[in-house]
Amino acid sequence: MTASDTMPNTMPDTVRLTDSVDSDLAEERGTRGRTTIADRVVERLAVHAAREVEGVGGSARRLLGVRVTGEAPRRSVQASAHVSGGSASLRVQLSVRYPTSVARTVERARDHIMRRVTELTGLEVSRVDVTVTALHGDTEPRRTVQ
Amino acid sequence: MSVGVELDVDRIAAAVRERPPVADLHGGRFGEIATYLPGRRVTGVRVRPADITVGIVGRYPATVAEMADAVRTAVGPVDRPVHVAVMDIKADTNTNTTDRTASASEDQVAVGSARRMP
Repeated sequence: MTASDTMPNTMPDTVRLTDSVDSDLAEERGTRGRTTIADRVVERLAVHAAREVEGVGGSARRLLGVRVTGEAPRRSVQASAHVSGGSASLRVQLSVRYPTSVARTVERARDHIMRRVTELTGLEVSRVDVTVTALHGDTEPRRTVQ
Repeated sequence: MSVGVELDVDRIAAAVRERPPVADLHGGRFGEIATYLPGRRVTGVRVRPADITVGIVGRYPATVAEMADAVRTAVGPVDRPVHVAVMDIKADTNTNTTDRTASASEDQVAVGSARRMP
């Protein structure tokens, strides 16, 4: 394009850089450049992974510990992630379908989240703290991701 | 300088966007991944003398490695490192949402609410 052809050499220098991206260093690939992964990416992947586990449903959003939406299996699983160095730690809030074993479901969810996040990002997942915020019934049809 | 001046930011942006593992370009947490051209800015691609940074929204379920490879392939051979910042993930609507409405999908991605992107 014409605009960039005429772009002076100094142009890129006018872009002030913050360290936000570079500090999330996840992978160094020699001269090819770095690949960085934002916390939010890990959060989304964890949410996807959690929902792939049978018996896992969403959790109400909370602000300062107060529910701001209803607990429902259709709702989103909540996740927050912290990535530092090559590893991620996660906090996940979800609900479990009523007659299933909470312990087993949580264990499966944790395993699955760790495996999927590692598979998809290459990050090591150091811990997954799971909070079960509700038990939900079968009344609402759940979409399962195959 | 030499080759660097010829880098076409618009071409890079378009090529990256076309890759299947890439859902969109992303300007970074503070909008810092951008190139300013006369009268406009290109969000998601930052070309500097020492490196190129591309910010993207990846498409689930591609792996981060696939996304990074796709970006570097799209940029093509250049004389400086290409940094890839995966800033967000978008679900491939075909794989896991069949009956999801717009509001429901918004709810589904409500993660880390304290970290809303601008």
